[in-house]
Amino acid sequence: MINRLRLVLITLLKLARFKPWEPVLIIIALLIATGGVSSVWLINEGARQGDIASQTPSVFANAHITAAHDDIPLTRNDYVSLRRAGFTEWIALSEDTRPLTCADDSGVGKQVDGLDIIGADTQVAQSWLVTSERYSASEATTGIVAFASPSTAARYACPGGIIRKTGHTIASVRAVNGLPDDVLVVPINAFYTGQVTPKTHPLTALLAIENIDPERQQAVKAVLPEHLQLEQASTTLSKGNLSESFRLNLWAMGVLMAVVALFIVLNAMLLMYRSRLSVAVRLRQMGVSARLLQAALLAELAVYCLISTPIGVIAGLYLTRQLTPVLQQTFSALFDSAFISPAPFLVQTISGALLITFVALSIFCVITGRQLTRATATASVRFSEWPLKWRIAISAAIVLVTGLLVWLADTTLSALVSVAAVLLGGSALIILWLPHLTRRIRDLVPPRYVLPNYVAASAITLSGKTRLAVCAFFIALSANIGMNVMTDSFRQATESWLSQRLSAPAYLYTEQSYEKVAATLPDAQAVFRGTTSMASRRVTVRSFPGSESARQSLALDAVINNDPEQAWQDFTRGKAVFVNQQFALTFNKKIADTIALDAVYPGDKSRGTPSLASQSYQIAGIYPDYGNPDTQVLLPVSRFAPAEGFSGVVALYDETAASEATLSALGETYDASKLIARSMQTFDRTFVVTDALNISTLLVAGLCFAISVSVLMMDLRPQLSVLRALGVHQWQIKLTLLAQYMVFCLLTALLAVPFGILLAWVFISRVNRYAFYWYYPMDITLSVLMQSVFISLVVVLCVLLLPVGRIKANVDLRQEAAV
Amino acid sequence: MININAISKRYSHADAPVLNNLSLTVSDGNSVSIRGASGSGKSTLLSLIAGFESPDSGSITIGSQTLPFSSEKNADIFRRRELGVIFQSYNLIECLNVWDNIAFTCRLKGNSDDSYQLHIMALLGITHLKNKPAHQLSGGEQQRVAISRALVHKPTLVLADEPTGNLDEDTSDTVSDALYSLCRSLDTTLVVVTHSEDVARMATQQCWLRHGQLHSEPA
Repeated sequence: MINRLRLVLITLLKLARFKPWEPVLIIIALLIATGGVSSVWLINEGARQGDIASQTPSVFANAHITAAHDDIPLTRNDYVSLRRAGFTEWIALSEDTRPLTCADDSGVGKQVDGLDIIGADTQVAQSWLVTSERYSASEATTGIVAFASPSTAARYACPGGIIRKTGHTIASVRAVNGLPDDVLVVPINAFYTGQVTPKTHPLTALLAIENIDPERQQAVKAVLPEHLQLEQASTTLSKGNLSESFRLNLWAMGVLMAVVALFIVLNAMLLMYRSRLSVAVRLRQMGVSARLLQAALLAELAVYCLISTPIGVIAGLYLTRQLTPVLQQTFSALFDSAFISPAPFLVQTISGALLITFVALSIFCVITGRQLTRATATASVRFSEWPLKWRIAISAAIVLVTGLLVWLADTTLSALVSVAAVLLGGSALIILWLPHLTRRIRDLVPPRYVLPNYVAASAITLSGKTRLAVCAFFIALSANIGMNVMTDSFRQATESWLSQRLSAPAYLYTEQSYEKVAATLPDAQAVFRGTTSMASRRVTVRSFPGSESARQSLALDAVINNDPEQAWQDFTRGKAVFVNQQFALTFNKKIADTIALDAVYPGDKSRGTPSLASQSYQIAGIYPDYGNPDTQVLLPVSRFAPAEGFSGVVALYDETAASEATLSALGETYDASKLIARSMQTFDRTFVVTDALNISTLLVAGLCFAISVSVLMMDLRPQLSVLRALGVHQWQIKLTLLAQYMVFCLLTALLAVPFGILLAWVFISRVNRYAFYWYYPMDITLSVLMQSVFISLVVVLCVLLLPVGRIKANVDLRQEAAV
Repeated sequence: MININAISKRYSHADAPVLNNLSLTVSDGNSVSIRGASGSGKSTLLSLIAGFESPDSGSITIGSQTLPFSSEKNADIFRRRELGVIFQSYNLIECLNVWDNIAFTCRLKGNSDDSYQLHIMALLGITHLKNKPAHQLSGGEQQRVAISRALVHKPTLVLADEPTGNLDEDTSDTVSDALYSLCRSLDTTLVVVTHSEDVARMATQQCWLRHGQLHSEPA
């Protein structure tokens, strides 16, 4: 048995050497697929880490203690006294703002902060310390290690290190979360070197390394000497994010790429199998058993997989690494977001890529197993179409099963399964109907147009051989259309919601107390926030005014008895509340249901003294609240008396008339239009990454298609030879081939449009509904659909130009027809 | 002994059966030639005898083996040990050289006999092609290699589909002489499908295939 396996395997390997393009194309397909997968996974990881980093609150934004007056500085003694009094959450900070240069004399920045990391008894600070010690030990001769935000670390990547004015070198900059941009942080002992001494550079501030609760703030205030003051944590306007949605998108892109890669690998394997079928038949006729032949084929393919998968992954990693500076700068400059050079989780990535190839091998086994058993005559292995009745029955079953899965999806997992069902169902329909559709196209081409007729006729034969490549393209394109329609709908819904919600001309973001704001702007509409719970789940509470302008700004999806007037009356009287979509869907509540809220605590934490006791309310209305990860209840402003839980946000209607000086003394004022623009920028910035990944997937699918074309063109040589012998010009042949493959792409694109729209509906009404508890109206814009189809066709056209351009159809009388 | 009893075969795309209630008996070590018009079903008959395809009805017995085979494994063993097939389109493995192509079946069987292989190659006049890749051979050379491959493992039954179809007259005589004499010397049963009257006449039994049935006289 072993000897026979060896004999057949050697024969197959000799065949590979005889027709080297077969293994070469398989290896290229594997490299592209695994390289694409690892790149997308690594970029995903980098973007995910960047997303985490951009959300990690900066330690510099925490509460801090500074000198109250310029004439009496903050001293080391103040720091020591405070820590001795038990306030060990405060660490010393000093700043050096003199220019920094790279070792090659180019300037990079001008701020180094010394931070007493040793004094910080937190996990984050300790991890910095360990890193710092490790690097300092390993790079003792060259300099110290500094920490910076990911985008700053990318910008400060100087070969040879960074030189301070003191003449000391910062050997390397490590990216960490929780630091502001444009600042390098070094341990304070490394900070004070050379001419930089506590005398020349006194302490700038004492930073709270963690959030300080109000009680602790009062306690520290009590022990502070007069020349020091406590400044509250900054409540500057958050960048805003759509983090969960964004992460799900990234995850979906990773899975999508894996599925496309699976199709690519399987397609390459089946193409090779097809081109070897004649030899397989010969071997079977000589008594080589189907099992033996399959084992040899699998062994050969496994060798290719084992060789090319790690290389593909490493190539993907190398590509991502090479692209990292570009990605970091793009993320930082264009999207105001971070991209962290992903740690090469090589073992996981190679394992994932190998898993894909071995799944492809398993499917290959199933597909070829039965065929090889009866592969004793060429006639018995010819691919024949199923009868029309069967195709209709199978298609109906596919549509029914997919429809049922979509309809019955009631959890995030089943919603994602229904997405897979739509994509795979569509692929199955393509496999069933592509030859039939191409046949209908041939019927439309009059025989007098010889070449177009040949294109259409030949396309029928080719449709059987390119089905899997077409499926990969279909999946990538459908997903592209689905995601674009979903994102476009989400964008439009968000923009219209924001425009309505931000009804005031301007908003004030302040760190002052409500009393001070109310005294300065008596008619201002402040927003109060609170935290409560229902059924042991956290619920956020916000105040909402009952004024006419406020009423118009709150778009309610549904109101009690369909009577907005009654809903608002019940709300302002405190009898009823409005809840967001997330609340209604999470707790499965409808209009007019009664909800029992636990005690409401002011602010973001459910501790301390509650401002409202437990109470039951009726739901008077449900409002859309896109992008909010929380379940939320709106209560009338009157329920927040005495005013507690002031959020720091004030809607300015007539107060815009107040002098700029008054407003700027209180905080920062933003025009509503600027806030909307800023939010939409955040939106676009978030989804542009998934757009880019989507196009990468499309490109990989296009490359897969080009590989199929390259293989099939080898089979086509005898036919092309005949065409040349009949006097068809070389460029006419190239154009013919190009037209042939574009016919497939066009047909696929036409099928992908309805499936893409269906996919968008599933994303919006099922995935969003169960993953994030919100949904929004689907908006189908023709230009979005056209753009997806156009880009995909251009991508395929570009990748096809290479194999089609290379073909040389020469006349060769000795060519044999392919089996 | 081959015993074909009332077999019929119809292809799904054809109106009439290609073989219709056909019967044939060939004794061990004998040879039979089958002639007929193109498309009359000669190659199909060989395919059925080899077990590559199954008849719609009727039975085929080869020695103690009744077709269809009880299992795929038995079919493979039968093909490896008992059967030699000479295909109309040669069916050589193009990536192997002449020697490896001929030796392939013996190696599969696990009993290579280099001297016997050389003997057969000499009889067919292809010794000088020993190391030549199969894809570089002319049609006639490929045919002789295919004949060598079918005989080298000393099968009990050889099925030959147009074994001299691509050879010139002189070579055709030499090759057919070698084929028949080798089969006789090995006591191998030979079924030859041919258009050549000379090749057909060398068989101990001659048949003509018409309308799906075998006749002992030409039309």
